[in-house]
Amino acid sequence: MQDDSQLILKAQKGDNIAFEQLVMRYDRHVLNIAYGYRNNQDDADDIYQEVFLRVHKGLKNFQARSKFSTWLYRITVNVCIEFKRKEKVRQHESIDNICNDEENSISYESTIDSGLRTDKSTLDNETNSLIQSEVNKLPQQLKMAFTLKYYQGLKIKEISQMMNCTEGTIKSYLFTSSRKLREKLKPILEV
Amino acid sequence: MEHEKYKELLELNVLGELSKEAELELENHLLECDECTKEYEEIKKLFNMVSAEITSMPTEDDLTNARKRLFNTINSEMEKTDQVVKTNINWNKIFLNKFSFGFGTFVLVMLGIFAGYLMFNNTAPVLTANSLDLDKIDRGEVKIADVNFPRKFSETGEFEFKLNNTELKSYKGTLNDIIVQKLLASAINETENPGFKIKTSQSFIELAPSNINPDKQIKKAFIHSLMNDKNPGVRKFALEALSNFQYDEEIRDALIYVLEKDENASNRMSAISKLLSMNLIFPNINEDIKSKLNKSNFNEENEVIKYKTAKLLMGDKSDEK
Repeated sequence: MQDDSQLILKAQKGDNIAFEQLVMRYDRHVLNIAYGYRNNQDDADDIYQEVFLRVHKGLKNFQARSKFSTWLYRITVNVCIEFKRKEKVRQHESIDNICNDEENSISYESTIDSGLRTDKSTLDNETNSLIQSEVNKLPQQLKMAFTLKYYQGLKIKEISQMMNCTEGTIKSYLFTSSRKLREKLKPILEV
Repeated sequence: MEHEKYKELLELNVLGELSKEAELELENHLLECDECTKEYEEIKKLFNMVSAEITSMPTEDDLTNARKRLFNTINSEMEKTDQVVKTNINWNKIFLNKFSFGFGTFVLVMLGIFAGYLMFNNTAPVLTANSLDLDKIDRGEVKIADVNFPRKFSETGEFEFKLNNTELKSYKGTLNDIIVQKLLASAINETENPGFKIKTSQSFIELAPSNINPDKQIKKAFIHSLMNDKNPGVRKFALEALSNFQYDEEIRDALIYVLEKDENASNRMSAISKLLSMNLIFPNINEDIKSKLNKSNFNEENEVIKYKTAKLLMGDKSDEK
């Protein structure tokens, strides 16, 4: 089997088969990261496309100062975070949407206390959506670090390389995320 | 301060990031600190809830679809770029200096005259697939200089042939096209390259539609490879490619030949498996075939193949599809 550097050299010279092999070596992980971050298959697919189109365009200038995988995952992290920003811009275009969101937001206490919802799977689904909703509200960097750790099970060292910052920063992101989520989800955590 | 340090250790322990020594130190602290124990339980609960929340991940189909979309986008972008480059070259070469400008104008005038000639002269040759004589291809008289196989995940699934001694310099089409099948057969017969033969078989396995109406020549080419090629890989893939065809006596006889003569046990195993599944279509095995099967079974060293051949001879088709 050819190693990454051989495939990269070939792909840089325009060998598309080599590029495809390179993509298929890492793309499962990229799609999982995107899905973990967005929790939505369509969004994950859009992120996947953008990541590999950037890789395809940028590969000519890739000089192997870092490992290919590190470079690829950094692009993935950036695209995930930018994807969120784009969505925010779209949301701000409609004030009505924001108002509706607030009207439709769920009160944890009323959900948990409601005698109507006794079915366990219904309760589990609601708990899941509450957790997801709170995770989504985290600032992007925190959410990225949190999903990479909790959903992908990556080590802090790996996350720091992917997000291009120190391990201390990642720890701080994770501690802050955990504290914020525990505060927000207190009613469920105390049940 | 000391307390804050333990709070960090609580988080790191739940995240599986603590060394054995630090873990031990934390355990000792928890034994005597109710506040940290309470917080530890809370962190663990959050971790367990979030972990349990991960109920789905993208499936293999999601991944395959994402790949198809990506490679199609890249292919079409590259095609666009190629066209732009070609256009730029023309403009640069023809119009960028005074001398070339005159030449460029001359070329354009000549092109106009040629276009007019094609439009108004009914006897002008029209280059279409009809220019390819099917019998000529079958006789191996159409020389194939190069074959471009369809790229993985290509939506069109088109093969492209560069031709040498015909009016048509290249030909494109899918496996549904009888000319494509004939050209592939011709290319298999002409080449000694095992890689090319394997790639052709693989393309056939991956791309041939289930309702394909295969040309006799491509079937013949695969059967010839299966029975005569020196390379066991070529024989193996030819056998797999033949699985896409409606089984008939010609294929059956080729498979029996493999069972009798092929030195490669894996190929003999594939052959007997296919024969067993064919038994559904050919329920009556005649005496000649029985005698061949008995003979091959007598010489067979592999116990599984022996067992399967015995099953075939007894007409037992259990476990086979």
